[in-house]
Amino acid sequence: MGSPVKKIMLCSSEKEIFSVEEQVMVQHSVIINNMIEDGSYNHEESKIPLDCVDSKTLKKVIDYCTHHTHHHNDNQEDLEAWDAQFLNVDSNGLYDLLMAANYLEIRNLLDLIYGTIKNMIKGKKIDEIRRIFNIKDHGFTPEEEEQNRKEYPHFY
Amino acid sequence: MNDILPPELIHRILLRVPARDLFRLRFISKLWHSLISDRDFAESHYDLNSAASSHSHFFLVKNCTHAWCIQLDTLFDVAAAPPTHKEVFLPSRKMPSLPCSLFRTVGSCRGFVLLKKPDFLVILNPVTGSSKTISYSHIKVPCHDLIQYGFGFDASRDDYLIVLSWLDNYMQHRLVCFSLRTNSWINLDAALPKSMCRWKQQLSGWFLHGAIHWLCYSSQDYIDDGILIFDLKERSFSKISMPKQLEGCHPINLIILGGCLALYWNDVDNNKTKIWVMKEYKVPSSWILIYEIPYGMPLCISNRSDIIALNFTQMYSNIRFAKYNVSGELLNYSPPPRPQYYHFSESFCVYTESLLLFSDDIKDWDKKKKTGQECFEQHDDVAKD
Repeated sequence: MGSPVKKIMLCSSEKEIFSVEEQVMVQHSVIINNMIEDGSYNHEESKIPLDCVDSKTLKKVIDYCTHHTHHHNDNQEDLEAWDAQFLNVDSNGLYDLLMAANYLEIRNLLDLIYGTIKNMIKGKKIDEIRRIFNIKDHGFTPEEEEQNRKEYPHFY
Repeated sequence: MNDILPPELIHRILLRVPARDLFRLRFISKLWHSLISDRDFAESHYDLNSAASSHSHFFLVKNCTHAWCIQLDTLFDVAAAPPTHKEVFLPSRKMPSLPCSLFRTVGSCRGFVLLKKPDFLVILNPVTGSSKTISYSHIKVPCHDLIQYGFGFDASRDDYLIVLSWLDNYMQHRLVCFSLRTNSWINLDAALPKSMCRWKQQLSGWFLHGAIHWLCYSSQDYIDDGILIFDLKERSFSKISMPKQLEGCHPINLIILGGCLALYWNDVDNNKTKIWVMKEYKVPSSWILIYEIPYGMPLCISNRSDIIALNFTQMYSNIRFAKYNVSGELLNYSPPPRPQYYHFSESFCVYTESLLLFSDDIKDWDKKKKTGQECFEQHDDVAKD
């Protein structure tokens, strides 16, 4: 029998504790990998505080890492289907996931989210994209904005 | 998104967006505008995307003043109808050219297309509308059609170069290049090898890995057969050999496929086109016969290693694009091109879209309304109807 699966503790912004297989997080998160490698994580007492990640998002991130650790041998189509289902969230959820993946440096998840956002932008009018990104203050002067709208009406 | 994303993340998302869409996205906000207009952004965007087939476009000269740009990978996407054909204005210039003489495409590099008329050359980025016109009427050539062209980028000097070579009145090879950075012609006769092989009558060379590549071979003997390489940094020539199996085959053409040098032989007797790819740059043992497709002209490799080609098997006056898998089986033809006047006699090339500008016109991208942006307005209308 091998040694029991090593676990690490992650703490969400609501101070909820998630216990995850160490290997799962080490494989995906550059930040956690570094913490384990340089010994700054103590398995007896440490919890990794993720103050900017709420429980709902952290659970999703853990789901993603777990699935991709245990199913990395699945065929590409199955993985893509799983990813698509995984990212079937509203834009706030996607934003939270992006911030979490960025904070934890989970590169494949970041790439997946970037790709999804890229597709959300594709073919959309400027007003629509501003809504998606919640851009209230575009920073152009009223004159510049009017000029742009006049010059490229079909962009808006 | 419940809050404004940090600029760093917006930057990374925008790096993945096709060049043509970025043009429009500059009007989202001041922040997006400054991110997209940044020169380093254009460089990173090109580096990240140049290998992806989704950025491969087909540039087709339509008449004296216009050209069509066709995105190759969406051509076969039936759901994404209609096919994205965009029209661009070709810069004209009051030069002694015959009034209706057509531009010919003679190369592409980093999103720019090189076009020629008998007395001047134009470098054009179809996305940004950025262009430069260069006169070469001072070059006296016995026969105009015998100039070999090359167009490339010397990263060590951050300079675009146009290389011209021809046989002068004394049957001597001549070589000059035009540097965009110094805006001057440089004589490079000294760089020519002592025993210069004959260059095949392929009008244009291909830019790859900082060098321009031309096919040189003669139909009498095979000693000279090979690919002539002119390194733009070192300004020197070298040569690599073709696969032995292609000795004596005719006609052979050089292209670049999936970032590799490639040769294709139109085996007219068997109605086939055989495509060889040099998997490892400058390693002749890595030549491999990779595709065998019905008679045509390969253009680019899709993300799934299918090949997109022009199909020549039928006496079909319109250009027809076809997609084949690695076994050479036809996957599908593109829907009939909407503007019906595509014709083989017209001049075309494949280029990769980029946002790159010439170093001296970075500041006035927005002032280029007379050239690039106006045409955007027009062809977006074309795409809509």
